[in-house]
Amino acid sequence: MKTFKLYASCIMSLFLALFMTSCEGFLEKAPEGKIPEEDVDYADITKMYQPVSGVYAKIRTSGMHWVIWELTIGHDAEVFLWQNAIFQNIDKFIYDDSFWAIDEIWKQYYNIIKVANGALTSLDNYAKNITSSSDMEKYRAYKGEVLFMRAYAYFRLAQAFRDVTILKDNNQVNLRRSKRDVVYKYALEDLQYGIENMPRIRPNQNEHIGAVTAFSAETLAAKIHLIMGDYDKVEELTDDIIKNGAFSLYDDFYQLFKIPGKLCDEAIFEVQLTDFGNGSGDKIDPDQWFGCQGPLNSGNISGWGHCGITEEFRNWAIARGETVRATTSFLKAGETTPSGDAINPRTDPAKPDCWNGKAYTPENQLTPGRTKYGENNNIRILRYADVLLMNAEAKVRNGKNGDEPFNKVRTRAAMPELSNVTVDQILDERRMELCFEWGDRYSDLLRTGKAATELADYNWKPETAYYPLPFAQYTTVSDLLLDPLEE
Amino acid sequence: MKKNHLKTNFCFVMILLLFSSLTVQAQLMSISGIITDESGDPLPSATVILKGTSQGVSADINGNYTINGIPEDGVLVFSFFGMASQELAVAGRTNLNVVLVPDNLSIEETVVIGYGSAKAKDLTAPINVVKNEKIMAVPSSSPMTALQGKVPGVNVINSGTPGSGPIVQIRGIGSFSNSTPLFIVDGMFYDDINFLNNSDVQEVTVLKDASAAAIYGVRAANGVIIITTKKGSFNQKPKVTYEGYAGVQIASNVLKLCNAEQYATMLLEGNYDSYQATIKKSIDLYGGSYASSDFHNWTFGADNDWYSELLRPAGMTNHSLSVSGGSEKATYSVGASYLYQDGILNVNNNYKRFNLRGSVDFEATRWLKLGFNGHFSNSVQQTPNNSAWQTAFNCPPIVAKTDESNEATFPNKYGSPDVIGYTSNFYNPLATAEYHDSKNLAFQALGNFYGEISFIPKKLVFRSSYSYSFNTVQGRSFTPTYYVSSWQQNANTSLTKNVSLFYNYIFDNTLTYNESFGKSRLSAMAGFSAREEQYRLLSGKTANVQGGAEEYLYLKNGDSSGATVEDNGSCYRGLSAFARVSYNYADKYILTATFRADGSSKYQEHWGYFPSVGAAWVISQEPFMAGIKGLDYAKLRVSWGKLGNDHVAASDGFSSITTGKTTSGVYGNNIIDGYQNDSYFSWLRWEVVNEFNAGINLILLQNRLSIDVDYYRRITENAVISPLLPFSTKTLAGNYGRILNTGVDILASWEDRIGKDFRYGISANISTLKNRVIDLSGATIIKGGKTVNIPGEQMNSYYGFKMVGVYQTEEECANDPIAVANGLVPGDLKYADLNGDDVLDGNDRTCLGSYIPNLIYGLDLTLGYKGWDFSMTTYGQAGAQIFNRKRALRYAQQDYNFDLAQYKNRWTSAGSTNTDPSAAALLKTWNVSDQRYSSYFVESADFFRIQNITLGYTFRNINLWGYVLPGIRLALTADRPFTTFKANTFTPELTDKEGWDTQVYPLTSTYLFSIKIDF
Repeated sequence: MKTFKLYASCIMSLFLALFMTSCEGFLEKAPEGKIPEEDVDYADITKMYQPVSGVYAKIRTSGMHWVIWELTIGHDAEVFLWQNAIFQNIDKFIYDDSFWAIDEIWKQYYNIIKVANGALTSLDNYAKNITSSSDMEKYRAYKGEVLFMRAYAYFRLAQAFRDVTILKDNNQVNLRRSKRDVVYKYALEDLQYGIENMPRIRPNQNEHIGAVTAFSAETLAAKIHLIMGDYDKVEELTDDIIKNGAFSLYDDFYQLFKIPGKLCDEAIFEVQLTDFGNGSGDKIDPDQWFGCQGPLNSGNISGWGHCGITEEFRNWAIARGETVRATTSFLKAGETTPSGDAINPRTDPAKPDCWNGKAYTPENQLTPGRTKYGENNNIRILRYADVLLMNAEAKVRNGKNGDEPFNKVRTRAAMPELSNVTVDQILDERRMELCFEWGDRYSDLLRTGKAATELADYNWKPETAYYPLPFAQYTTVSDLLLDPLEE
Repeated sequence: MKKNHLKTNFCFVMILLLFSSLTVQAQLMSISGIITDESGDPLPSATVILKGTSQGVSADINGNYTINGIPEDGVLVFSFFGMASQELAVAGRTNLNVVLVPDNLSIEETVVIGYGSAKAKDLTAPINVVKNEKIMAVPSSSPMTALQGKVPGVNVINSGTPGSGPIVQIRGIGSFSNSTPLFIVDGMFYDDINFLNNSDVQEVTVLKDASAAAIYGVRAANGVIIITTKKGSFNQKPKVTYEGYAGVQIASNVLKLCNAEQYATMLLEGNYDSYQATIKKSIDLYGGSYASSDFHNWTFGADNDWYSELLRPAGMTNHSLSVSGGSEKATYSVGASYLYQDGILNVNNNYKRFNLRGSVDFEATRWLKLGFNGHFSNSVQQTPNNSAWQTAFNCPPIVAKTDESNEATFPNKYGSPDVIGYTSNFYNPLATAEYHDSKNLAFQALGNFYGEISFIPKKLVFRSSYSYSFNTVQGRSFTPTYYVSSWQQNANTSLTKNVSLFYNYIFDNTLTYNESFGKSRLSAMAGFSAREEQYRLLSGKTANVQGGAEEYLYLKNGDSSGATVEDNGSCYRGLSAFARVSYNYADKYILTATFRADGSSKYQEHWGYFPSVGAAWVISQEPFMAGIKGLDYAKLRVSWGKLGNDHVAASDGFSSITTGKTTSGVYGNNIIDGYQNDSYFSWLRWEVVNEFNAGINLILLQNRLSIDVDYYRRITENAVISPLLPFSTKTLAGNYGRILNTGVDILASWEDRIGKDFRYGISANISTLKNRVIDLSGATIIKGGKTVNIPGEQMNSYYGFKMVGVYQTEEECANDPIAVANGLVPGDLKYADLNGDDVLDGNDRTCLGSYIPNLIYGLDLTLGYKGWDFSMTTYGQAGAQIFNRKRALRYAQQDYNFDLAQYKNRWTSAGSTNTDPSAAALLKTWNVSDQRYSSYFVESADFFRIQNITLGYTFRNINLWGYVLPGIRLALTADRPFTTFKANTFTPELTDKEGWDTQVYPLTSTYLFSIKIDF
């Protein structure tokens, strides 16, 4: 019996020893369904566009969050957010820094920046395997597209917060902010790379249709220079676009914002969406970007009705003699649109009676079977009319005549031509032409120093001109409370 | 590699087969007698076994037995199900009459302890056992539901949805990720046991503390529940039992909502101008009158109580048949059961399950024992659309139930909210419930094979066991075309199908050694285990599949363009080596130590080590205690152990890329496949729990009173929590948390009889719990979507403003700078300005409670008189809070309906109330906003319930045309007949682990008739 026990324990120990040595391999099990970043096949240059496509997707999923748009437009006096006190206070430049929406702007644009940073790393990995010069050219153009989108995110961040952090590396430890102009300078370098390396064609001529081009980068650069007051640069960049870009204004201002105007020759940068032409099934939509702006109505032409258009602004537009731009921009309660959609009259006087017509896609343009407001339409971000107006303003400020580009915009909107236009006339024109798009009116007031007078009734103060740092960010990253870097 | 491993094991078994063992011979005799219970009734089928062998017989219908071939110095073991086994030395006698007593108070009872069993008296850890009868008394689809209120320290939170199992928590919540205990069915690990029928379960053993559970190492941090399924006994005549019940379920505690008049009063008092148009529109369309200048006198044609429209009484029935028995060398048990539970939501929703099981154990040779257990379960769950409950809460009563005049609606003429001016956020709840067709078809098979080799009988035993579980769930969800309003429509049918597969195996090998020398007894066990858990999902979705018949519902019958397909999977492996040593000296001093080494493929750092140790001192065995009158038994216990929880997300350990539609850009009408780099990746370890337990077991007053008290203190280290990354909407999990759970579990029971025929018992259990987040690696607050975690506060606390009252007068408002700054008026809620800066902002928020009870208690009463039995159990909890999300949702839509309490308790004038806002205030964001959660929405989840009342009568030994039926029991049961609580909800038992009350399927009271027949 004793020997037996000995045997048993010997065998047991041997077995345990075998077991312990063989088990490490058993436990080395890679996660199912995940491709490690380092194992991506970077030698397959045909897939080099994939990380770039990923950044476009990120602009769509992060940058088109409904609340970001509402807060971007919320500073404009033309629009009022009524849904609750916190939104209402934004019109009065009163903020609660723990308001989630402010944090959302910060987080979502940095999400884009991080994805862009990751895509740049991927592109560089592909570049190591490139052997032909034509592939190298592609690589540089693709990198230009990613840099454009990263610059776009910084542009929006500075528009909302002024001084923000430059995130050169996703694992960057120092998250201290930089002054706005430092951020702009950084964005302009990115755009310069894009201007030099992307094709000089319209986006709708691009190999990947609608992808940004050198002219998109020039437009965004011009917008930044305009804010920084470098009118020579604005004129130079916009002149180049006008002379060499083969862009033109879309004739029908009403349809410009609807399905027929998708990626027309006026488009410089659009966020693209699609239902693939099918009445059901898969689709790519911007979640509630259109829905939040849709009118309080029944039927498919309806939405949350959040962003009301003030009567004051409508009266101003009518007094100017606006026709097609008024019909297009103002989607009024109790009226029927030119496309035949009836909007219910207002029943609650506390709610708006007019919404953003530029975000309206008529029922008869929806793919049959689709019912969501705005479905299958693109979101217009940069367009040629802005280039013309920037060109006009730069020319006037540089002591030249800006009538030609200015009047192109007027004529398309069925407004009489003006001569020897002034900066103020151009600013008014911008106010009407670009209303309810991406908050250009408020930017114009800030850069021209007119905010104090124009927004006096709205409690505007220089210290509340921008959104505050989000509470959730500065409480987790205390570096943000340090004074912004000057360079 | 794995092949090697199995080969090695096979060799090992072969070598062991070469050995055989010795036997002992002695002089033999025959013994007979009668086995009865305390009242003298015979116990048919009671078994008699010669100790140390499998030789035995069972008693006949009159309790008589005769057993042959017994050595003079042998010891006989008498046992009967539900009774304490008794051992009697033969000592040369030929006649032995035995009275068996119920084993409730027995410390001789054998308890499953994980990879083995032990006598209750030898335990050093708190372990509770619940027997089949207690589980069968409760009509439920999952056996765990029946454990509610039965075991101190075990919190069972029920769900009303047919076929859904309860949430189970043992000794608080020790993990941010998953607090589900480990369920072990016949050696297989599970996350729940919802596939079992109550009748399949012989007993449930709860290993509560770390020293007991540590033998399961990395899976045991949340406690372990071992389910022993039914088995036969050696030398037992076939025992055929039918048990069944049929009954009706009725929704309990239905929440009252405002009727049309009350709803109109709330809105019009609040803001007449804004809301009169909608209300008048309803009257115009559906009747009623607004002729009176005082809106309080308006009348309404449409006045719907949506909850009563949605609810119905629903049937429930269960039938189980089981046969068990055994010969000298083999035992068997087979069973079949069928459960049908209808849903109380008044549409097609129900749960059907068919279970089969079988178990065979046989002694192939003197040294080899083999066995097989199999369970097969097939269920169909037609799921309800639980959002109907929320839409019913929100939908105003003035929306028509049906509206024949509306041309647009189809196929049913449901009333449309938008015809009277309601826009987004309003849905007809009847349509929400009706236009939903979702079904889960599940097959589950569990097989367990084992072989046991006795090198030295009863001393050195090797056991090898292989368990395989295969589970597939086929889901299909079909949405027909319909139109109710622009917000509630579906222009194209859509069909989603998915197939989930779960296939897991566990291969356990243990070697057990028992030895006694002098007064010492030693038991040692060593083992190793390998396991793998795999999961695969394949799912597809398309549109325009024709509805009308189940047979049409195939993806190929729909659009091919726009169809999507998705798949996913996971695979984890684990290896473990473990050992346990128990030492008992003179039944006085007991020491148990366990150790487990666990390797898991889930983490980069594979291995973890989990020791535990426990000691017990049976103080009543000491000479100095001998004189104490009434003290039958007293044991002091202390134990400590370390456990792991690998039920947290696996860590990738590398950054990966994300692909798919959401990472692909659109170019024209196409997408170009894109990917995004995930620069961040997790690097996790498992959570570790350290638990200390101290307890006492007392048996007093001639075995009539037993008291168990345990104190525990468990600390979770490295708790995984996912804070937001800076500058990102992404969270990244890390081992940042420390959590404390501490409390006391008390179980006291008294059993006695008065006279010969009247038996009674009363048992009470109480558990206290204090839960705290101790530390979050320096973070002061980590916010989740619903709740926050702050060091020093309870886990998953609600966070917001503390309501201190209601502004009563204009003067009060004028004197309060916060009221002035925010334009408040009397009737608005007043919040505490916690930092005293006269500004109410994010810094004034605080923790407002959490959904963790501080006290749970249960009381059990049983009475018996001759054939009659009666039992009543009660259950309650205190100290938890729920978040009334139903009310808080008004932030999204101000003209949602109100619950009746909001109407009745509303502030109307100075002094009317200091707890509820005015009607007008409920329409203001100051009081109702997703940005301003306040304690107004946090309500007490305290409740008390009469859990179960059962009255039964047993007929014994009925002679049916010559055939004697051993017993028939008929019973009437009222399950959960009465519950009381203050919260404005259907039930404070919520399926949401963080306590958000929304879309809750109401709980039911069930009334049923049951019958049990022993053939």
